[in-house]
Amino acid sequence: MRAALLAAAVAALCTAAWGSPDLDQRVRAVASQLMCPVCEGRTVADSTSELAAQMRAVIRQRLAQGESEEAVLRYFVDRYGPSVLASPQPAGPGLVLWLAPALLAAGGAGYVVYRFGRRSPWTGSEDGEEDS
Amino acid sequence: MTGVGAVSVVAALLACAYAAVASFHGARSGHGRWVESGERALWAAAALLTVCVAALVHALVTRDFRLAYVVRNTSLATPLLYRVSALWGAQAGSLLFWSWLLAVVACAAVSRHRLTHPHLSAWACGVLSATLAFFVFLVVVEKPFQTLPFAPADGRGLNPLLEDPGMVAHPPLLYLGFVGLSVPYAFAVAALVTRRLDGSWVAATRRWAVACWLSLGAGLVVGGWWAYRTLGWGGYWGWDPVENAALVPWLVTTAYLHSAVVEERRGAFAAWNLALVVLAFSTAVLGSFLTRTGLVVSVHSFARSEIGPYFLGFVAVVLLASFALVAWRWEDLRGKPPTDDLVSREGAFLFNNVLFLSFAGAVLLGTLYPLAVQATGGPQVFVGPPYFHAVAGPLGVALLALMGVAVLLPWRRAGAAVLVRFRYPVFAALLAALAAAVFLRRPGVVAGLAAVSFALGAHLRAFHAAGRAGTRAGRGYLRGLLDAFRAQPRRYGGYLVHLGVLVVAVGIVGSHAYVREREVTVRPGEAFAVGRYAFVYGGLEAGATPRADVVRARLELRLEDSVAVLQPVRLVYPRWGQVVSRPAIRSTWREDVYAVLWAFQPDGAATFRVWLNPLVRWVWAGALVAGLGTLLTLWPQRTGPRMFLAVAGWPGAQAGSRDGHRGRAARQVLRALRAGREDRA
Repeated sequence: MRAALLAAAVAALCTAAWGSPDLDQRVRAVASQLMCPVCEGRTVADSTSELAAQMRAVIRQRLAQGESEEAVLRYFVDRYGPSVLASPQPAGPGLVLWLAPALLAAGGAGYVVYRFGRRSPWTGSEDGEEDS
Repeated sequence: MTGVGAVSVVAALLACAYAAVASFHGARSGHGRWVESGERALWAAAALLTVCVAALVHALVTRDFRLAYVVRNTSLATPLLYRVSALWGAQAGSLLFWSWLLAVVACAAVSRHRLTHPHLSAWACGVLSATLAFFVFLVVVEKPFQTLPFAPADGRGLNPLLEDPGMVAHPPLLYLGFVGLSVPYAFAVAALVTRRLDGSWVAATRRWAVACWLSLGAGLVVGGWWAYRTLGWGGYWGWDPVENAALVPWLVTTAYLHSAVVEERRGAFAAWNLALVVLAFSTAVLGSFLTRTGLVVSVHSFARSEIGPYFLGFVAVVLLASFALVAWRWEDLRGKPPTDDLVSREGAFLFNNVLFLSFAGAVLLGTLYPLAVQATGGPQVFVGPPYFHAVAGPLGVALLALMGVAVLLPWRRAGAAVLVRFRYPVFAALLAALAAAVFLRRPGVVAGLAAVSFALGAHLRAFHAAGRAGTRAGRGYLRGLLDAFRAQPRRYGGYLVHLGVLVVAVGIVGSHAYVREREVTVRPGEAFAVGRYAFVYGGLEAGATPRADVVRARLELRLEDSVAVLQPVRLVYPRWGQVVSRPAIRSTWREDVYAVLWAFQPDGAATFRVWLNPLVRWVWAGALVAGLGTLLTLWPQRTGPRMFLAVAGWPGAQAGSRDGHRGRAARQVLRALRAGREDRA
């Protein structure tokens, strides 16, 4: 009981301390979701192009006006098309992409447990060898 | 000289084609004469390629502008170092350099193993020669020795971004890693064909695999270091398709290096290791295919050409032939299971393989996804940092945690008593998680630091155990540690690599989660602040180098009482039509101040982008530690009875017990111990 209370207190402390990121960090977060349309393979956050600088300014202005991150992203998708996104949205074929790593890891781990999980008969002391 | 080069390329192609045919025939029929003839032809091909490389380097160094390659990649103003490195500055030259490296590595591998593993080495020689023949064929297609109808007075010069020490080292390191992977691959194929699947090929090629892994890893780190110092976008890793193409084989090789240990210890797992080696080599070839044919949109667009179809054919042949071989020998490969119990070090290695391969698979999928969408008629899409961060974060944390678990678990089987070993590492993890939750507030960071602390605790425990064994044997704590490294360089060197990885992990977490960035436009004399630093802009200053116009800004950086000066520059290369913003970086263990001169007006007003990148130095430092650890694992292992007993804490095994009497006793004890172990198995 006391442990549960302690855990709850720690959790509350964490949530209180979590806080919200400042504007600079929010601009960066949005800008790194967008691809710079004029340069090859760089996000708006990382790009050194003029256009990307303007896009960052627009992001800053819109976030400062109180728009949400999603709304700003939607604004850019409406203007430049979905290819402006730095990663496909998790829908349609993009869902395969987003789920694949988790499926690979879970599938692989599941296979290992299924295949080798049963203890084979072995006679010896319970502790294994420490040495390599 | 250039005529000699052009002829030598064709001769080298013929030589390695003959070497492949002769080696395969000799290996199949068992005629030693054919085998030797094949080996000699491989040596001849290596010699001819050496002549080609020498000819091209000579042309580059002497600025022989009759050659198209020299004109495109050097100029009168190019310094000597970069005239030499122009050899790998563009497609044709880098393919030649690559082929030459492959030839040298192939000769070294064959001559090293021809006596110890004669049956394997004949087949391996054939596989290596065939691979080499393919790359030399590409060189022939690319024509590095193509001449111009007239010699211009000056060349265009190397891409200015490539004139950097980082770019001198980065490509050769990566190439060496890629090329080296063909040695384990060739021996794996040889083992499959000859049905010598007893694992001797793993032992024969372990050092090659470790050396390739080191070279690839060093290449990746140097590439990041170059990008960070040169490209001026504030980061060192952009998840660019070409970076990914080098990362994937490195991840697969990491998996292989771990599972190879299981095979060496237990003699199981042969099929799996073969598949991993084949996969590592295939992804390396696929990666160089993506890089060199410009199929994927990338910042590395300076190496593109029309060799795509050949390359695709080669990738297909490698994949199909290798996996057909594995399938053909499948019945022979199914041995005993790699582990008695999943809760053991072998079990942890299995999960290590799952995680590393999932990581590699996800990175590969993300890199190829845009191609797949376009091939099926979809729109142009990107898969960039958001996706890769979402993948690398959780998998990285899981790998770090697993690293700790693996070190704590014993081989074979863990009883309940093993739980005791977990107490301090778990305590460290909880403490770190709590502190991170209170002060740093990000779930990802909390998880990362907890995993790092746990793994750190586990490794310190292992080092502590070695030190204590030294104390018990009367040799002292430090000597005990040293003994451990000397007796088992692979094991403790590996732990040192892990420690380096932990430092890198802290650096990556810090520099990704806590970047601060500001863009400001200021007039001379004005000040601005980023984080805890104050900046005063002192004005611009114009200059020129032989090839570029330079504008240098003066930024005074103030922190409390200390003052430093940062001078970011903007270089305009007229001949290339290229503008390069070189950042000024002030690096400390806490954070890097990274300032870029972005733009300027005639009245002296300037726009800066300033980043505060925490803990970046930890990434470089950790990588150095990991590299050092890797070198230790390559150190020859002493397997004499004395060292074994010294580690086991056996008093008779101390230094000075060279005399026959004690030595014999030690050997008897060792024999008894070995016999006991075999009984148990």
